[in-house]
Amino acid sequence: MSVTSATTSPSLPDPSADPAARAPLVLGNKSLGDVTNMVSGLVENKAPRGWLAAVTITGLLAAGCLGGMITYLFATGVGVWGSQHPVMWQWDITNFVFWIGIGHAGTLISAILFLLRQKWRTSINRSAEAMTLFAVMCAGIFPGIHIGRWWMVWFMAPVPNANAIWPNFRSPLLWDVVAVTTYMIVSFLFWYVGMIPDLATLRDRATSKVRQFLFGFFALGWRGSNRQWRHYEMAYLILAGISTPLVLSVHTVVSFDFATSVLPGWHATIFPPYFVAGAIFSGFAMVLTLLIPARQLFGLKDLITVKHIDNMTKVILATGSMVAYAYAMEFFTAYYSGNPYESFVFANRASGPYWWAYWIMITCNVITPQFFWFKTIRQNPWIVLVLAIFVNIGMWFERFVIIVTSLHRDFTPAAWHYFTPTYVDILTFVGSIALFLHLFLLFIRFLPMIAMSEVKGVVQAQSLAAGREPTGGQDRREPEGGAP
Amino acid sequence: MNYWRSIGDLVKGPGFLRWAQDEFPQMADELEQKPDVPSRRRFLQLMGASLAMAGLGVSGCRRPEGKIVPYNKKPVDVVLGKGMYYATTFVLAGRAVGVLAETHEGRPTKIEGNPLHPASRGGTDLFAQASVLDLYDPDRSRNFLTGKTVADREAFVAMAKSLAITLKETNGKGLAILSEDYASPAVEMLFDHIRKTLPEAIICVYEPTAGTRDFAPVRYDLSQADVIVALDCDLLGTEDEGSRNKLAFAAGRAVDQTGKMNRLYVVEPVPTITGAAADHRMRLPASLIPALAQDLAAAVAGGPIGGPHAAWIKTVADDLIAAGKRGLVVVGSRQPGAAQVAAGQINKRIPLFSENATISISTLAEAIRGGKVQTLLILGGNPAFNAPADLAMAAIIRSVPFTLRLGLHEDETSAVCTWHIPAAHYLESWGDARATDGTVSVIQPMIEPMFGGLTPLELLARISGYAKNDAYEITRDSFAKLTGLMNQDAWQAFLQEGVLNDIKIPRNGNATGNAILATFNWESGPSADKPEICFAADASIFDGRFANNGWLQECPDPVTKLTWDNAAIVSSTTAKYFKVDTGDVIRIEHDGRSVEAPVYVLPGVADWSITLPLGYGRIKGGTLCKDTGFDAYALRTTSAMGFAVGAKITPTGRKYPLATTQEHWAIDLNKHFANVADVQAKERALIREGSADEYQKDPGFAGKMGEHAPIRLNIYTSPKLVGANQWGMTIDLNACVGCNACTLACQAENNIPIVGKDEVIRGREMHWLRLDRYFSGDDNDQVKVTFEPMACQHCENAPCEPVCPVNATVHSPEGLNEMVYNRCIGTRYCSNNCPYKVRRFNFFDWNKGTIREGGDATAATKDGNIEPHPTRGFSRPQLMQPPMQEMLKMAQNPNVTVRMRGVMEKCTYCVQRIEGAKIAARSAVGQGPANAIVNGEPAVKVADGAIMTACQQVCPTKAILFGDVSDPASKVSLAQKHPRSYEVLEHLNVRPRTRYLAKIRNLNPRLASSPKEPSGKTPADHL
Repeated sequence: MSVTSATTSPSLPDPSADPAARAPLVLGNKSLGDVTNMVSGLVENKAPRGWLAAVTITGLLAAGCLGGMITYLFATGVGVWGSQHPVMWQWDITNFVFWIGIGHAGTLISAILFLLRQKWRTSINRSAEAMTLFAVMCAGIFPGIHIGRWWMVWFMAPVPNANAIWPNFRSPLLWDVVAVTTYMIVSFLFWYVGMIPDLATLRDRATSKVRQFLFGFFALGWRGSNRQWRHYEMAYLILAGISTPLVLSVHTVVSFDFATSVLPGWHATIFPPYFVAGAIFSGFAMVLTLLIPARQLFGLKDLITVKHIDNMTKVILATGSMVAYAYAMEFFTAYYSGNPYESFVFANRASGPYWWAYWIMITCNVITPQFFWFKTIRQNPWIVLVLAIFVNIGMWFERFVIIVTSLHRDFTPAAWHYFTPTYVDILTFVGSIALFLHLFLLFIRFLPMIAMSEVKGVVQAQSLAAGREPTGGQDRREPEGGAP
Repeated sequence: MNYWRSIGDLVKGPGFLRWAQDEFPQMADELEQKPDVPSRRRFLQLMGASLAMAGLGVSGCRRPEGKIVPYNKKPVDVVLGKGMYYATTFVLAGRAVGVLAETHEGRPTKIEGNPLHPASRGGTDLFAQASVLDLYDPDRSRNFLTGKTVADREAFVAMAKSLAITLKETNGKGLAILSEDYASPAVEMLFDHIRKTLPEAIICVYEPTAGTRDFAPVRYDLSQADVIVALDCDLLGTEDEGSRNKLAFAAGRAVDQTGKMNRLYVVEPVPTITGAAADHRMRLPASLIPALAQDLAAAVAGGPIGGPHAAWIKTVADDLIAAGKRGLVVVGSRQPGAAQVAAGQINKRIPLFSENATISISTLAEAIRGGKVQTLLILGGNPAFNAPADLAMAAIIRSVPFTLRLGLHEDETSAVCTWHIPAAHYLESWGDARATDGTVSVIQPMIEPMFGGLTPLELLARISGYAKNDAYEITRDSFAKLTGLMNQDAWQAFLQEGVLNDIKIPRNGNATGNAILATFNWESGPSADKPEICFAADASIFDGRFANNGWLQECPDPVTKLTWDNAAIVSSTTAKYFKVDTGDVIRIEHDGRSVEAPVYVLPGVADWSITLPLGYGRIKGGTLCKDTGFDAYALRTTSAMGFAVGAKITPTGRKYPLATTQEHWAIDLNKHFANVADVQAKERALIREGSADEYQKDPGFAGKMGEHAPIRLNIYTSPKLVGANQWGMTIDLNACVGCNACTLACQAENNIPIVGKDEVIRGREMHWLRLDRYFSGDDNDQVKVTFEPMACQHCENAPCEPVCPVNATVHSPEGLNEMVYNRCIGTRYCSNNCPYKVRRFNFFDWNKGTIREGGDATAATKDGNIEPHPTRGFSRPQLMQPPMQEMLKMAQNPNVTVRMRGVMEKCTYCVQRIEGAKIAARSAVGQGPANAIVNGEPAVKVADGAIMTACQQVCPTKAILFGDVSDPASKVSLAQKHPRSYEVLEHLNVRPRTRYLAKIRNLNPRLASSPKEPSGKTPADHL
């Protein structure tokens, strides 16, 4: 690839020289123009060989597995899944919560880190936000298809209907609908607004009429004037402000699905913070899972540096430890409450018929992140990738454990039943993963996956700090949107 | 009797007598031509027509045909949606139970007990409940067949006529009749006629489950007994006559009314519902029970006894002696004469040998083998399937030159007969029946024979040249013969009430005799080397006759909870010895015959005893009966009709998936059945039981068990329950015997579909009312089984309600937790949040699909390596599939919505019955201030007892009460305030409207105080 810089250095400067010195966020002594070239090049140049194959495979899998299985489900009934009495929710809601959780990293990176002025977010926020959107899309599929009469799904919306009744506003499922829809809309706006200057850049660099028109249309007439930047930054700040509580609220509301019930193992006040921590944990793991191969494939190691990976693993370590604490507290409260139903559920999780799921969860979620105490591990992207995938697996199992093990043995032992998934459950989930990857791969090729305008700010600041004039461009606020 | 009506009201004049002269060929054609009965419209026309005629006062139930547009003019007495009740009789293996059939526009939909009949008293058993589905079984025989060719009715009539002439000429030489036990005076009258006019004919009555009983049936009234000892006798289950014993037993335990309780000792090889009801139960191989009976008789007589259980037997004997005349020993029908006589000695009533006018099936087989039979008439039954294996009955029947078979299905026996004649279902028949106490009751048709079937009366009359060949007239002849009453009024009263209560004419069995009785000793029992096999009528499909009845196939066995299959039931010791576990297939060999059967390990089974339920493994006779279970008849020979010692067991190493509605958690094969579920159930005090002593000391003991009662707070301000009536229920666990009748009654009343074996393995059975079974006790020997009927509790603070996003489950002002099907979108959240897990979900369009052969049961079992096997999957209907089969539609209750795919459903407290009663109450009040609407609800109160839920009505022991809990004087209110009453999971503050009354066991202090009850171990147990 023409944009790959020859001066890329995979390792960080030796921090022993000056412990207070921060590692640079953009390596290779990049000029502003280099940044533009690198990022725009992903969209403009020929796709790397692997991309086409990956897009085709994921596309076919998404259509075949997800599309095919949903068609079968719609035509036949939810009984094609393994759902049963008393495990009425199983992989469907597990997948929903899993995908919603994945979606959390995006907003956290874009909104909270933005408000906290964490500059390292700039290289990863765009793709993390895109990932959020795609994850929420995948999540949104499951509640829609898991209901018994899918053609009645609109009954959940507060619209006038033939029965002349409102939805039940006491139901956490309705809160879910509201929370997830809000999250989806705000995340989309945030992502889109943030992308406008970059879209303008692509428009200006466009060589074909179609590209020029499309990027131009979506760039909403961006010219990079001072006035536009002023409005833009205010809008971005406001959206960040709106998004921040959403990071906490969405998964809090999702956890209410369980916490407000009477079921032992679900009915717990610890759920909202525990779910939010878990969501951020899983979201960062997914960002790493996507970006480590992507930076390799597209040669973005100078922009998405080991420093970025290092920072994200630290977030994983922190949230992973919170999750581990929550697991421990669940057991403690079950024991300390003296409630035999509660104690039974937790004893049953660890030693009942689903002990294997529980211990997969503990291994992946409690033990895996602890490796990130070690810098050598944090800074080896491939080990990080493997560990991140383990975290993803662990977090899927966390939802499975919460949902299935609590349901399969509850109050009345006569109703207890062991649940096993069917092939339809499995293929539907595989299909949703394929859809997620497919959308992400399309995003990488057709939209700027790194926020050029924001990275340029970092480049400029870095250069100024080093006593150099940023080369290759005058100002990040140049009217042409940063083209060289 | 204001809730049922009889055709006696309607029958007037001679038109009534004309009804059966023609078999309504048009309708028969209509139904015969197209296998799926496509023309529902046509059917309704015919039904409507016949009812319209009824309205004109022309005829009775089964009415002459007329071509009238349906309900152009509403017939008098017919209110659409309101059932009409007619008395008739359900007969099962010679046991007659008077019932009332609810009909809607001429089609029977539900069976209720006839309160006037002594074997019912308003209750019925599960078989009677399910019998209505047999009527609409799409697999029913529809054609007259000669060999495999379809013959028409005329051909049959001609054949019968010429046969009658031939037989007349030869005095019946070469004619043999093999009949099931119809318990019908009219059939007996025709038999007598045949004996007179065709003296050479042989008549044989065979019932496979009548077992080894050589005696005239012993009649007893359990309500008069203080001490009952049941020796290998499922007197509350498969050996009960309708609900007679259950009712009498419960009456003897109504401690609150009478202040005393009977005490039941049960000795049996495998837990039955009788064993579950026992105060003291001992597991003992069936082959040792004669020895125990003889020892017991000796002990009661004051003699010294030895043997391994002497102390226990002595204690029981002392109890029997103390009870004096109010002590009763009953012995199961599979036990040999020695045990029966020993019991008779204790009861001071030696049973009489029955000098049967009929011959046994072995004698018949002998006669056929000797070439003495040229014409064999088989009435009902299924001898080719269920006759003793050593007779090789199928081959024997085939060897008879001319065989004529009357059957509901084209089954194994039809396949070997030269003629098959479709039988009329009892709801299509005229006839009569006699209960064991001699009460005669009527069988009258609710509907035209849908496929032109014949009753045994018609067939016998035609063959024997009886003066009349019309079942109605024969029934009237029989009635006249029995009663000497010829007048129309008496007959009409008989039809209306269904029974002749004043006249009791017991069946003949009045002969005497003496037999040389073997003496049994304690050495004759089984051991690891020579295990015992026991044959038992199945609790659900009986002797196999209900094998094609989906309701019964899917009705879980009360103790094992098995559906769709039988299994070889063994104890954990036996299983451990043979290194097998539940689901492992073993080969059982005995006497040169063998079967392969899956093992089911159950607590409380006698060691080295293997119980094989009969009736499964059918190969012909419908789509449902095939490929379910194994055929235990294949091992059952004339010398071992009840049990046999010395079988050979070989594990095959294969597995077979079993579908249980209650999961069978790992039973520790070592000593204790550490069944997590049961331990938990005990800790959770879901079932509360105490001894009679405890109850006397502290009547409120039940309220002190379990978690603390909550503070009644509610986060929501729920709408006020403003209805004039507030519905509630109580279930008395002390009366419940776990007979499953309520489950089936609910299924019939509420149009509950079946789902097939694979879906049961998935836990998707649809029963609104399930019967939870819990074991208690420390090991195999002290196992106690307790049942708890569990349906929607109609919580006032229902957890299912707030979680539904679309308000599909809401509370009614009368305290009902209501399910609004057309709002439900199927999120299933309500089920997840239901602590009782009583909600059922339509995962597929159960009503559109069928239960097919083949399936994917392997997918649902934990351990793989299951061989491919025939199973019962549910054929999953796709979106555009046509609606359910026409024939099955007719069985539906028109007052209950048939639910579609994707909606949740559950017990409604029979809301259709509640609404019916409310309308009746409002109509009775008439217009005026008393009929005002207050707070949007009618102010009229429904009288206590005016509503009976389906489960309540059917319950043979009257364990269920339903009514208005806001009326302090109502029965249900009083029961709810009873000291024994408690809420299940009270600590959740869900405030269920259903309360349970704790179970009391009347323990014998001499047995209760000993740390362990006797082990019931056989001498071979030291292995």
